[in-house]
Amino acid sequence: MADFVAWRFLIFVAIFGMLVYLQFYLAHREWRKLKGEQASDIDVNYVRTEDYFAQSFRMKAQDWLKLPSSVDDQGATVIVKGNERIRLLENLGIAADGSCRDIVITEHDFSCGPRSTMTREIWARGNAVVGSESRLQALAADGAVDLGENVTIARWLDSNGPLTIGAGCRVGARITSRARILLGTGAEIRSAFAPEIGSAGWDGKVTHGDPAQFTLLDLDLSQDSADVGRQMAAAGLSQDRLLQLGPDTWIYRGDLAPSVAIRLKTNLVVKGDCFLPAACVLEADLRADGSLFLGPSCVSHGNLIADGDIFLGRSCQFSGLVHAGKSALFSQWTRGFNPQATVAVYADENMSLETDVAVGGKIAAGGRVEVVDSTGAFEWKARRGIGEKDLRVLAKGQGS
Amino acid sequence: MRRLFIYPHRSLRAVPLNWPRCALSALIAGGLTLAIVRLLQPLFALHNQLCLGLLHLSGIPVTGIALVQLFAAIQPVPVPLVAVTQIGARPLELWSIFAAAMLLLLELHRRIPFARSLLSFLMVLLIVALGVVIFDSAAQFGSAEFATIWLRGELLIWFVLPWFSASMLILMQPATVLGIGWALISQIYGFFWSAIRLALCIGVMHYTGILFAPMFWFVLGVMADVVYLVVFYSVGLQWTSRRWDTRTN
Amino acid sequence: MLIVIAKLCLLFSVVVLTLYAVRHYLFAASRLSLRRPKEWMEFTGFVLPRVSVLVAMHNEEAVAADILQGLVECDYDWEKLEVVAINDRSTDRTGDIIDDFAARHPVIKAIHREGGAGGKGAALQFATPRATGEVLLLFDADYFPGRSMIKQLVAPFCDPQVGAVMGRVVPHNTGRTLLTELLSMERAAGYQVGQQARYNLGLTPQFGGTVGGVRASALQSVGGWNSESLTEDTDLTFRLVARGWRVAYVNRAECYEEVPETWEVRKRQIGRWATGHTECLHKLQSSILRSKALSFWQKLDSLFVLSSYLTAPILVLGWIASLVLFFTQQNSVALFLSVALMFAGYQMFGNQATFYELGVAALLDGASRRVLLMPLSLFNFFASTGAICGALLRFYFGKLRGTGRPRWQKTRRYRENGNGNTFGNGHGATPRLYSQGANGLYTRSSNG
Repeated sequence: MADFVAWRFLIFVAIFGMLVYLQFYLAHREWRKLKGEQASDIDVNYVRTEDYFAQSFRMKAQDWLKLPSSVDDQGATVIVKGNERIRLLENLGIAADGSCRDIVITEHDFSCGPRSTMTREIWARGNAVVGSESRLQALAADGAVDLGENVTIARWLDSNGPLTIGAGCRVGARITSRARILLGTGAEIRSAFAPEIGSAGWDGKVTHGDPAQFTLLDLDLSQDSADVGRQMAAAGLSQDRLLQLGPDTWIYRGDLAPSVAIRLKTNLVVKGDCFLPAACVLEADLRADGSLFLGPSCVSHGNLIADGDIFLGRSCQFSGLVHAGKSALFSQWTRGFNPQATVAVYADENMSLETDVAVGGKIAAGGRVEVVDSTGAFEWKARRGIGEKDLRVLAKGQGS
Repeated sequence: MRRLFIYPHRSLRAVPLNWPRCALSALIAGGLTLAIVRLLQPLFALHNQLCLGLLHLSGIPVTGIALVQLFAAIQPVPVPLVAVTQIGARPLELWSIFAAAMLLLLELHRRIPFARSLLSFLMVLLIVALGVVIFDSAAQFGSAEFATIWLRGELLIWFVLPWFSASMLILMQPATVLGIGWALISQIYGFFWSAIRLALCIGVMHYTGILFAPMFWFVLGVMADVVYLVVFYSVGLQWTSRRWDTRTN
Repeated sequence: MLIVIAKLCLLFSVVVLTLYAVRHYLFAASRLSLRRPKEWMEFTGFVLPRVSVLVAMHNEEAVAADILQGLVECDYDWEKLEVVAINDRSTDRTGDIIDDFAARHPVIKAIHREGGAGGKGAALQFATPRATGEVLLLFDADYFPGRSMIKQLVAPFCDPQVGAVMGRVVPHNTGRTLLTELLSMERAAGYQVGQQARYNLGLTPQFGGTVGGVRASALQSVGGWNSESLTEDTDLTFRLVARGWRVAYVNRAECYEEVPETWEVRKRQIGRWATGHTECLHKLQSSILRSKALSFWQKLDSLFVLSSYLTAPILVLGWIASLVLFFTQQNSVALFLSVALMFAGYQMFGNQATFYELGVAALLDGASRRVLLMPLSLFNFFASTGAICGALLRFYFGKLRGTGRPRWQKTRRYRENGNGNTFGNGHGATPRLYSQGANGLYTRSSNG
């Protein structure tokens, strides 16, 4: 009887063992399947291109054109690929309130009237004109592109020629041009990349007005301590707050708000907010753990980095990179160009441009890039507590 | 031009936390916790019944039911009473079982490289238990004491499990009904699995005394709870990942 | 008395491990809740400093050609690039391979180190004065850098406070053994969740000594490489942050590595990391605590990072204490704590990541199949715990006896002889698919 009892327990142990294995069964089974498998193809040739989507679409379209085709009753070449229809025409003009569900490739120009709807991608080998309030999926043009007002492009937009975005347009993804991009007031996009990008009212020039002459206080933190002390004191800053980080980089603990226009010659990291009065010149990089506010006519030759917001006053110029951890506003007449390189501007949240702002390179945002009018700019400033008084403080020091 | 497959996949940049979903998950967890608190005594009684049933089925003679105090705030709970072999008084049996167990562990140690550290750990526990049996017979305890230790640990798991399920629900974002079902299933599974494991441990104690008690407490105790938690978690994640149509390996 | 000590040890273990577990859950929650991980990808290609890529190679004939070919094929402007290939006292054909590449490609500079102390830190210390770049990027010899890797890694250096940058390390030999699969999950958790969360929270992602870089002026400001350290990367990371520099993390700058395929190799690797980290803890804890540049939370997290390998012996201490209390049938609280200890301890699967983190990373990566392997991480956890405890025992024993520090050991490579074929899915060296025009835009090459 005792042996029999022990056997029952042994059976229980065996069943228990199976239950324990069951816990690991899925893992074991998956391991047997995965064994020897490379996780996935690794593409070491991958490069991140600004116009990837457009180029990819063009390449795919060229492949599609090699597929068997037929001719429809309107004389267009039609290629059927699975659930997709690709139409190839010489030119295409869609009337107002018209629509098209096909992928369209035109040998020359494409146009659509107001309130048209194009649910698939379009490739115009000539120019493209889109009527107001139209809705498109994506558009690539080998010529110029002209979007009317309040057009919505769900995805990307690309052109080899000039690209004009009307007021109130919305583009869901990247806009790229090999020539120039003009953004109308109220336009919202994700990013733009072109040799020249300008907001409404831009006169096409890389500088605005004549450069004014200002008296600047030189602030060179690499000089000896006594000189630096004098300079800091003259600027209304405290030398005690300085900490040297590297041979060419200093930390300033607390907010930085010079009382006069300065020419900063070394890299500076501000552990707080930074308020620079008008006409300051930054010859190196500037970073703020808080927000960065530059008064009118400031010039930055280095990079501007802030964990908070970045505000560039009127007529500011920059030739480096601008990166805002939150939002950024470029006031009217701001220019960002570098003859030797492309500049880039990025805000993790929203990037706002007033009218007559121009950048040579890239503008992008995690949220949206928008062109705002004076009301929008005022609201941006008001939300961040920048009143007219503060702007006057920032403008202090202006004058020769 | 096809963009070649990028490794690893970056289909998801983030999984934004959905605050209503977080609140709902917290509510479900809170509700489950409250239910456990209210039903604690019946749960322990059912746990005991399950244990008893399994012990009977596996032929382990149950000498009675003891009421043990887990914590001061909880009424005494019933646990099975089983005669535990005083293996210290049977040296031949003791050393035979010890040797057999060690040989088995050593053989597994030799054959399974990835489990070597765990097996070494188990061998240490076995040796310590042997030492206690030989040198400190007063330290030996019975099934009621073991069950007390066990249930204290499992009680912690029963309270933690709803909150862990909640964290999974936040991540997996299933439909509400599925989410509640998931939390319930994992709770019920844990409960039944605890009873089965306890029955096995008590059964082994009946034959071998406390020789394997520390090993089982470590390995079949909380560690086993963590294992099934991870299994549930991994299954849930796989289901979620497929549902979100992310590319598979 | 023994029981009191056991209870105190147990309480200590529970507190420490619970803190670590909570920390990791916070990281996972933080990572999940990010709408947009902080990153510098939008600036890829816009930040173009002069770069020196340092690749230290000690007997790396099996892999040397692959990495050099990969670097030659990168899309960084050669006018601003130099690849400093360091033949570090090799006794195989490594030196010949480096010389051959240097002869064919002017961007590669061959440096031969004939003697001196062993270890990567010593090799870097030797080579750094000969590097001319503003930014020094580092790769281990067995890595596969992608074409755009250099541009991706240097992008954060537009921030003047960034002293070092770290990319993401991704194992490519995942299907070889169970261990490689588990380590792949571990790496994913560590980078996709841990590093990214720490970066976004303003804490310190760790510079890992490969797939990363350091600003030359930052390196100079903290006294250069520490050739004595087993983990010169950890040592540098915390010297930099104590001074006030930041470390940036670029999640999408992925580079592919070989992870250990056997448990023996893995044990040696993790033992070295544990020893190196703990050495750094002892050496740098006071400078971290005294640093004026770090906030309270940054200091706290830095100490957590440096102490992370001590969790293994603390866990074992807790287990021992539990065992004592188990046999002495101590009161309910003590045993309750035992359970809490084990629960918190077992959470720490793998390389200091909770299984929750492993799952989150797998989900973000879309690794829906590999995620099922997670229960097997338990064995990896035990193996790691054992290896770490062994290494730390040897370390502290050595310190007590004054027998000197452990020797640096190279991690074993598994690849067969590389022949310079880029890792291109078996297609051999791939021609340039894209070329970048003057306007910055890429166009597809006609021979692509």
